[in-house]
Amino acid sequence: MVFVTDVPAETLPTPLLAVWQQAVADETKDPNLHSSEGLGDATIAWLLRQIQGGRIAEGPTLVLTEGGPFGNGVLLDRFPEPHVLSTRAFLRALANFKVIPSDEAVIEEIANAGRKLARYLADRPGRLSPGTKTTWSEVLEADKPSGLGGGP
Amino acid sequence: MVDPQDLAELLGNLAENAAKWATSRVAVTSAAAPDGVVLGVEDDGPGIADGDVAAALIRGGRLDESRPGTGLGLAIVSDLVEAYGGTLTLGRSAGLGGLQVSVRLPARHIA
Repeated sequence: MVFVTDVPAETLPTPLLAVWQQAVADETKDPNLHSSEGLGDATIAWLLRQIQGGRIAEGPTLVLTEGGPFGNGVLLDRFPEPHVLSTRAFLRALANFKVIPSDEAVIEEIANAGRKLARYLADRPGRLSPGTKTTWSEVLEADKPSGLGGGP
Repeated sequence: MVDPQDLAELLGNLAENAAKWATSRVAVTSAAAPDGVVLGVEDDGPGIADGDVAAALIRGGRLDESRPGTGLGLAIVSDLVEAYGGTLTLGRSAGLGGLQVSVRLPARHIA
């Protein structure tokens, strides 16, 4: 169990960990290999299957998006009103709540590792059912009581 | 019914897999069904033996390493189809002789 501020979060082991570890080992031996390619999509697909199968509990849902709306159809079917954060916005939120010292440092580390991080600071509610009012609040500001984790 | 990017992911993985193993031909079909749609991708490659179908869907598993790959494509398709409440069937293509993959996706209304 991992706790971010006062919100408990369960860490689910994925069946892709061993695949990823093997892929990293293979790529370390031979830099020309691309063994880890597709692991991100495979992990998302596995997670979507868990969500649709009811193995993810109901409740506040945090969706980290990167590289496009892959899986949105499944997510919006199960959770019609999610808060959607891009990785950049998620890191900013963590920094604002002092969970990490600096979002910029992490972003720089990602860039130095050769990975491309979308520049969008997406922080928005998902599609709402007709007639439903949003309960969305600004999660990037730690001083708002309705934000992520209820403040620091 | 299915998010466009998810459909692209699904068909992209199936087409890439078929193209990798095909000798010269790949066929992609779609048909309306009473409860949704059935998509098919088949090729004239070596196919997958009935006894190996389950192993072909294991994440990272590779039945034949003679060609490059990650062993993730069919697993991604399987998970995605399940997430949409559909069914995935792997078998022998009657017309082309290689692998035939059928995906049945249920129709549903998204508000």
